Amino acid sequence: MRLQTGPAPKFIDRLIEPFVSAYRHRELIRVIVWRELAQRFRGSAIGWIWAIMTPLVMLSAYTIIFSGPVKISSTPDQAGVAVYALSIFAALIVFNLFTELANRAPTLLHENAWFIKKTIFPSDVLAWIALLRALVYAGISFLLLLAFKLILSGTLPVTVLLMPLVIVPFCLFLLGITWFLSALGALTRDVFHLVASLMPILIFASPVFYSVRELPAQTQVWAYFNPLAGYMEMMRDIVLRGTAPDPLVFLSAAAVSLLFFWWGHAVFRRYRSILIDVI
Amino acid sequence: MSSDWMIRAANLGKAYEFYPHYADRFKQLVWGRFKTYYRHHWVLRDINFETLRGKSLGIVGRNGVGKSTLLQLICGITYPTVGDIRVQGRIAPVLALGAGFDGELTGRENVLIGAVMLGLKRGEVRDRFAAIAEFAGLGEFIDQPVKFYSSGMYMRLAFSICAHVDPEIMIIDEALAVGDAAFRDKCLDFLNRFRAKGSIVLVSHDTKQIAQMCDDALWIDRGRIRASGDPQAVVAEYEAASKAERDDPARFVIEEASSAAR
Repeated sequence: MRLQTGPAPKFIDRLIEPFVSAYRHRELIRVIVWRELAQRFRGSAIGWIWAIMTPLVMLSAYTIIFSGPVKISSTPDQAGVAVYALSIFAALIVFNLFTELANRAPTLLHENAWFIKKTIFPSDVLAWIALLRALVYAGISFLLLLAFKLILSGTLPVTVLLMPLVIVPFCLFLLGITWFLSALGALTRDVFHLVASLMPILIFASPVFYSVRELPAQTQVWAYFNPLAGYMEMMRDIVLRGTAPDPLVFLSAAAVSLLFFWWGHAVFRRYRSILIDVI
Repeated sequence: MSSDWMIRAANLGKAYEFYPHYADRFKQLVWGRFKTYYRHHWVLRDINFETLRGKSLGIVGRNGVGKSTLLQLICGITYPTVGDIRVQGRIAPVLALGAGFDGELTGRENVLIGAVMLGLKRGEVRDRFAAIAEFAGLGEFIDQPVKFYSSGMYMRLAFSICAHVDPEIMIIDEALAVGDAAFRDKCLDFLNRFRAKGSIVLVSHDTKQIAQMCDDALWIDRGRIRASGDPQAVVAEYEAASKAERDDPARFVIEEASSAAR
């Protein structure tokens, strides 16, 4: 491993730096992600089935609750219950992916202290590892979503193919958040508790149980200030409604995500030299 | 200046920040621009040395004078507060106990991760696994979780991985002290052969080892270089001073140094 010093990097180098680092350490990322996945299910007899069970239970719970005891204003009639449950499920995939990373990020460096303090380990790579791991679970949920959509309407909309357009910027957003929160979480453990206590609020501040389109017109713009809202609606658009995402929603979500990505990485970079000494 | 150096430190210094209260760290984060909530403790100061390609460096000094911090700086695990450290070449560090293994994983899995971390490809690790396992000599324990290992077994695995990743610089932090005599001899044999093509940075309280294995030595005392040069001479001076100065507890006092240097 070489320590790099030299002239100040150009702006473009700064922009591609996070990707260069991930590419350079791709073997390490692959080995550790694979190890974490294998480890999670080792010692449980039906291993991977748990990964499918959890989202399945979640989906059934919403269907049962909203078809029976609970009626909220936007709850549709009996025929629409399954559609409504899928709509919640689609948004929850986005939400769960976010919470998994946001909850884990503040302790990410502590958890891997034995790597980054004792060996030559590129600590910025931990965010990629956490993301890939979470993506595997989100992927399972997404396949379930597709399966149920197929059962419900007999066919899948072509717009499902637009999925990369949604998932790539969302991943960049998540990476930025993870870098930021892990740097902050290493400096003070309060961040962990702060994030954990904000999550229950966030689920209602995001269009999980409702759709942004049901909100009054003047509120809709504000709703999209929450980056998760855009991704939730785009997810519903391409999988459930079968329409292309609103270009304005897409562009603003992608722009915000890219900003978060670079900003999060810049913060991590900035504090990297201090982090090692405090954990 | 010669471009044939492998490790070069120039005015290198490392200070840790000491906070009186836990909350001060957070205050520093928020108000750091206006006020300083910590005081600096200088672990290393004014470190200057150059190790040439193929030469080996021995480091002696008492506990807590900054030897391990210097190794961490060389490895790039921690960053200098002032000055500059540069390394040209691939490093494999066998740092003190607990060298970067995940206790839940088996020895085999840690070999894979550890070797990839040091720059091998997965295929290369698979090809060399038999050799690594044989050198470590752990038998069936290689498939047991590392948390069940003794400190000696730990070190065997760590050394064995580092020995098989084609390093140009091997960094060894008192690791040999925990091995049994047979394994230590095996390691020393390996290091003697390794010296022909690469560099060793060796921290050891076994001053004979330093004198035998190294071309150069540093004696670090309270974060500064107290003597350097010919290993025989440095070691002799260090031993004489250890006898004369005894075990002085004042070593561990946190210096009330000025916190202006950053």
